[in-house]
Amino acid sequence: MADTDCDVARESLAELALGTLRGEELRRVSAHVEHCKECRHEVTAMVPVASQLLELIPGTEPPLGFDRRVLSRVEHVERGTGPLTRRRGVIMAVAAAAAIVFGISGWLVGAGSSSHHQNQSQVAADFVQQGRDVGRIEAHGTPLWLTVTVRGTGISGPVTCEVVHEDGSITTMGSFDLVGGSGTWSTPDPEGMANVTQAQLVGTDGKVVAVAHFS
Amino acid sequence: MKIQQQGPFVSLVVARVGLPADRMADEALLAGLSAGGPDVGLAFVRRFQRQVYGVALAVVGDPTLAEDVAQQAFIRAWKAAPAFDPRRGSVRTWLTTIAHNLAIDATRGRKATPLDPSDLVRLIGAGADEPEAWALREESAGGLRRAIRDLPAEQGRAIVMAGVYGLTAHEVAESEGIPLGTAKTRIRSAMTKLRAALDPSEVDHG
Repeated sequence: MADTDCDVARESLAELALGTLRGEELRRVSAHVEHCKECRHEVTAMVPVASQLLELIPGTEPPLGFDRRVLSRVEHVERGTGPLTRRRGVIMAVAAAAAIVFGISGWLVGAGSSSHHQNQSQVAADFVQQGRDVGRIEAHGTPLWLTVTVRGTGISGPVTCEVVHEDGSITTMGSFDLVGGSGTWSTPDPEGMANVTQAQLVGTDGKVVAVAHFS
Repeated sequence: MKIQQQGPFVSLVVARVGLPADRMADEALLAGLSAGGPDVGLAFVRRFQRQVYGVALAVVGDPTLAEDVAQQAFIRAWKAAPAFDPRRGSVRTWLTTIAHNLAIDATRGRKATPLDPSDLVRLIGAGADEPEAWALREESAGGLRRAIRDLPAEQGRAIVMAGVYGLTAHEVAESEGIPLGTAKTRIRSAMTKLRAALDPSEVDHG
């Protein structure tokens, strides 16, 4: 049955299926679709069109050696020894956008630059999703423990916790499952926590679910 | 059944039967990423790299950034492979969507640039191409190109800007020099018509 919410939401369902909604509009329309079976059906029916649109994009051969470079990065991630480095400019752009979209907040509890555990940064910050506090990341203790607590994100499934460093590089800390929008994950002796500026939770579709900024 | 449960079986096939990785099904390759050895990983990347890199390049426009985005897409897929559910779509579609989302994230905050009409022509294949190339495109993208060509031109541009280049309605409006409401209407109308063209039974015409 159509009501006022449906009428308003329907103006944006196509954009939701295409993944181009942002900010408050994304939150509002997603919340409506979550409880409206009719609109959810509409969006579900639009998703195949969105997928097929991507098939229009012609394939392009990547630069020589691309496959080997991918495997090399996967190997680093698998061993947990190497950051997934992105260009600094990209990270800064994403961080700036995330600050706008997610309304970043957080604070630095302690500071240090050594890679040794006792001197490593001991940090805590709130995860924020579209202006809402949805959890917390903390690194504390000796030896160092990293703890992530998430609630009320509105999504379920695996997410990856990443930290972004001052030089723009990214280190993947680990993955865990969100059930009913919530989840907790911790690990002892985390590597790569020095000089971090923010943490982010990333869904399997590559979208950033929530951001915590260490400022 | 989730693909995660196929992992040991795939590994067994690779180890005992010696099935070449480049002949494995997409889902089997994905399932074998963590246990199948580097040949499986290489075969997986090589099978999809043209599409993944192509999507990244189309959205970000810069070859260096596109390679970084494409690499990130494969890493995401590798990490998320256990959660892949083939009932929700093909490996190719899933991987392409990951690359598309990452590419949009990488360009978020950019200034919207007008869509070059030649891009739209190239994407929907409306140019004077060789018949063979035309046939191949028709086969791979079904009737979507025909459906886009049947749209009013401004709706075709709007849906391609949003669905392919990842522009928000605000960015489409800015690029086209039209009010936001008009941009949203064009995207919505185009989506409705494309749905009707691809699956008429699914669309409420009321």
